[in-house]
Amino acid sequence: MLYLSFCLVCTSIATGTPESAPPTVDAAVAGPTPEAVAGRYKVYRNWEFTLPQERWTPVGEGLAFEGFGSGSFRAALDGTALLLDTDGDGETDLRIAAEDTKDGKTPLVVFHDADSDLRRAVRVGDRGGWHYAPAGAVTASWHGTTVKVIDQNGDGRFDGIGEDALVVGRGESACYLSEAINVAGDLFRLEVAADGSELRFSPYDGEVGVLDVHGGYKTEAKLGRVVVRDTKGRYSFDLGKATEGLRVPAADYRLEDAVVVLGKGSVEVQRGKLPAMHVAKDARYELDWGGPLEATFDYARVDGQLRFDPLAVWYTGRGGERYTGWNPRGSSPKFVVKDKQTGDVLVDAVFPGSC
Amino acid sequence: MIERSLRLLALFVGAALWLCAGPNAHAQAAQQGRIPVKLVAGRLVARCDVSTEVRRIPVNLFVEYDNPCGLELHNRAADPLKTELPDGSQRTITIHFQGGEMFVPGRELGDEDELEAFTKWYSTELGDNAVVGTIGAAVLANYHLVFDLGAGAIEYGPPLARSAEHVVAPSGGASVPVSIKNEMVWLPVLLDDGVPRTMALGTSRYDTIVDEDFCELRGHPAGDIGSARIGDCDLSDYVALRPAPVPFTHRDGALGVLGSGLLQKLRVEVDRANRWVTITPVAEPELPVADRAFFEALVSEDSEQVLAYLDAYPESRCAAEAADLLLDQLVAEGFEDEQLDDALTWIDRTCQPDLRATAALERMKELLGLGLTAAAVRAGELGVEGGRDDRYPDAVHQLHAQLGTILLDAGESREAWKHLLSAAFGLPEDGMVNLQLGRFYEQEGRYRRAFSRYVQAVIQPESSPRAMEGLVRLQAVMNPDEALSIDLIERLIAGKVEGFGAATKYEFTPETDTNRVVLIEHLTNAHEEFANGGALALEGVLDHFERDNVAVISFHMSTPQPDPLHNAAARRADLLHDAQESVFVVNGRARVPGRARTRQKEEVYGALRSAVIAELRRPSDYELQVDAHVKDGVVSGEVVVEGPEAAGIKLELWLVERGVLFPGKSKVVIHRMVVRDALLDSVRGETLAIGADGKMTRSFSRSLADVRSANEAYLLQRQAEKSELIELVSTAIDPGQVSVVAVLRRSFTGEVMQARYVEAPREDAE
Repeated sequence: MLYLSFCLVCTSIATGTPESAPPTVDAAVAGPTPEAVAGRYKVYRNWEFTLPQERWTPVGEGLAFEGFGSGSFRAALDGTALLLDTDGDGETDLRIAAEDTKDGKTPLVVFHDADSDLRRAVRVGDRGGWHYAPAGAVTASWHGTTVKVIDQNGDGRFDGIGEDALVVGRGESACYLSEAINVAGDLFRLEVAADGSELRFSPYDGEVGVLDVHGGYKTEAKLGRVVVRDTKGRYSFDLGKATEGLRVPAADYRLEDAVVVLGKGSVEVQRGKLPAMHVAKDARYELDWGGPLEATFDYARVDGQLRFDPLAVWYTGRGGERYTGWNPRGSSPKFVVKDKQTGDVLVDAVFPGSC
Repeated sequence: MIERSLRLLALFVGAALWLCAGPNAHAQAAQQGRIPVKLVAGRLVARCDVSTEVRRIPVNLFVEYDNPCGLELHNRAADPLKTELPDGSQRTITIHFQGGEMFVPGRELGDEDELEAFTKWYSTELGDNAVVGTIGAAVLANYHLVFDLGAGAIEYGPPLARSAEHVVAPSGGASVPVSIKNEMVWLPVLLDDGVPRTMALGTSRYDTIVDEDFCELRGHPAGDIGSARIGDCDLSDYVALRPAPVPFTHRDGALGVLGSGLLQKLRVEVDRANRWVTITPVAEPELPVADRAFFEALVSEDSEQVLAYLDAYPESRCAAEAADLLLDQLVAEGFEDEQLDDALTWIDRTCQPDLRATAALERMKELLGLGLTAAAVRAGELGVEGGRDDRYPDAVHQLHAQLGTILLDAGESREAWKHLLSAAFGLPEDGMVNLQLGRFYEQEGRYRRAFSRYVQAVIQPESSPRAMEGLVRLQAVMNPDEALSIDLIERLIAGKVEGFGAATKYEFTPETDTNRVVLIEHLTNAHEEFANGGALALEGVLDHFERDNVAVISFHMSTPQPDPLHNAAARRADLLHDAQESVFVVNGRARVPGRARTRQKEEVYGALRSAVIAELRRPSDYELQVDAHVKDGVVSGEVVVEGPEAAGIKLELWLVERGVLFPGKSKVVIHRMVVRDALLDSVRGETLAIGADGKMTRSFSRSLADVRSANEAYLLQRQAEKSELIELVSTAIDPGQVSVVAVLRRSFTGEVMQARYVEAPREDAE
């Protein structure tokens, strides 16, 4: 059970942004020459990253990676096992038994380019057919902060703005790959070479505001990650650690996903009816959301019984955001049926502990 | 069905539901007693019994004072206790400790994978019982507690009376007021800067953690933030603080969480009623030099520093974690062979002695995935050395199997053979072990032995295709006069796979002795979990009824993943019947679930048999006659329909293969009555058109090779369109297994008006 004791008292609405200020789209890059930093590819044995939109791509007839001279890496089946060519010579090098993917296991596979020392890593899983997902990232250090870029969409490239994933700083929480990143309070433009060999940084010279998702969030738990993306898909940030707000390009942002944690418990937050966050130039936008939650549920009358479905209970936050995926599932809500006239409790019910 | 929805404020529902459940919701009466606990791999574990009025079972439970849950129980423990009643309410669960009990009004569901993995790795330390759950803060919050982990116990009793008097702080200890948040106890902590902060009292992990972001801001990412005092007790005298994420908030700043390692050195009394904690040191302060060195190596992200730590503290508590970290870093950054060798040696050296083989097996598979075959062999050999002492006897056999396969591929046949024989000794039914032994014996020209191994391998999904190829090769050498057929394979594997035969043949009654031939359509998939129960039930039905009375056709669906027996005809059947999982459709009217466990085969058989008998009672207005034969790889013949002309009826004609070998994940080895294609122009059939003679006659002719080509083309197209991977095996049609099934079906309803099954005898010597 996750005890997210949301504050039940509404606080005053947080200060918003001036309504008159329309979102400003900055001009194309015309500023200083970007500074290039070599990207280093790292393989992660234990994948602990949380991606905004993790995708498991069908293995199909093989995998291909940008910048690899050896072309694609052939895949085939052998009974229920997956055969993979991992060095690009067309011959099978690795056999992964279906048994090795039981209980959600995702074996790590590293592909080596025959013409260079490049390598790429994926996790493979049998998910109604063989699929793969990234197990590595291109990393670079910028002003002492590590930047990691992950091929989230499985196209073998690292330049998918709004498609691939990005981690700025420590931790494993990724936002979408963004044209701008915030490093220690300063904004920079970011370009990534398709093959990940180079990351180019330059000062961000567009209009800037501050986005704060913590100040107006009412909870007894802790915001773990809060990924936002602008409505045009160019900028994305994880505001989970930005407890004082974060400088971001002026734009309209939407919540993409968030997680609230309390010890081992967590709950996912979806956008629901949460409005766009309008960050105007030199202004601060404080999102008003969190507790108290409103619960909505459906029930059915069947053969003189009232039936409740665990999947038909929805929790909505103050800003319109939806709470779902409570983990662990924990205790059940308690449904109380009362006599409308007397208020007497006729019956109360809970879901079984396994629901 | 859903009639309406209600909207209620969280104040009404939420407060009663998830959000603000108070401690009283989790216990009925506070008694007193002693919880015997021990640390297993850094986790605090209590040995106890849990019971309901139905049953009492001995278990191990994690004790997590910093986990706001109540009592989490694995489903496998909750099941025998029958914790849930049919109406959804729960039975009160009693936790029995030495001299006392705790009562919990219900259980919660926690992380079952974590519980199972922990039990697997630490079964010896845990004793006879698995870890099946967790006692959390919401249960313990009802009691006055004394954490005396140094003495191996937590004492509990009813809350004390409210009082303004407090215990005097012991020397070097503390007697301090605390706050309660999220069921947890938060203690005031002073760092060198004098700013008040708080740390939660916890037992869910060994290390005392401190917020990693705070450490980094202070310029001490390794957690060495100086003194951290609770009263007169300086935590840094006892433990090294470990930098980690702190998933809590507190108005005074959630600095971290105390760990069970610290509580072994401090006796902590929690007077929750008075919001007071007393800390008494029970061990001499001792600078945790090794832990400090490890945390520094941990945040350095430098493999050299980790290696230096291992050299300096090879027997330390964190050595195994450091060895694993070393491999992490080498894999992440790239490495020299020598470095990898060092890492593997350290992993083996720091592993629990009785889990070396088990761990090596996982490592070996991992290294193969990384493309490090030589390193995998090295890891495997290290594991074999510890195999005899491993607590899981199969691990060493699996290591031998992996080593044998690698060495056979590398051409080191004799060495491979030794490993494979060792593997087969412990894993006699393993498909891959038998396949590799078959390969070895075939290379050596020992065909009889090779044939025997391939037969063992052909019934296992992972090895079947390659074993089948081996059998075909050997049959051509050993017995060139008899081609390998499904009938021969069936004889060879008899007794090795599960079968199901009906005890009796069906005897007609006057009501069922009609002209009706009932059609069973089996929609299934070779990779569907639990399709085996239905497939065995179908074998029983095929045995019980004659084909003159019951025709069977089987379509292989595309879900959960397409198997090579899927084709355009199956897609049409899927659209017609909308099967979400294995199902039998009887005469297009009744449906019997085909997804069942093997042990449920008799139930499915009974249901299917009843559905067939019900249909046999319904005479048909139509008669179907089919004549078919196979000659020179072509199936041809004629179908004749007799009966009244009627609109909306179609004639279907199916080419059926009686038995197809394809072991999939469903564990069905031979699939029965598989539809390979339509024998009329369309899989949708042909509109009924009765001529002046009262008959409709259609002839048909189809090359089996063409059918195979068409099916393979269909699969390849699907593979390209959907990026699916489908192995083109078992697509060839055995001419000796061909049958034809004719079906008259009402298009609109799918109801079957009449059916007919015939075998198509071979009329050549092919």
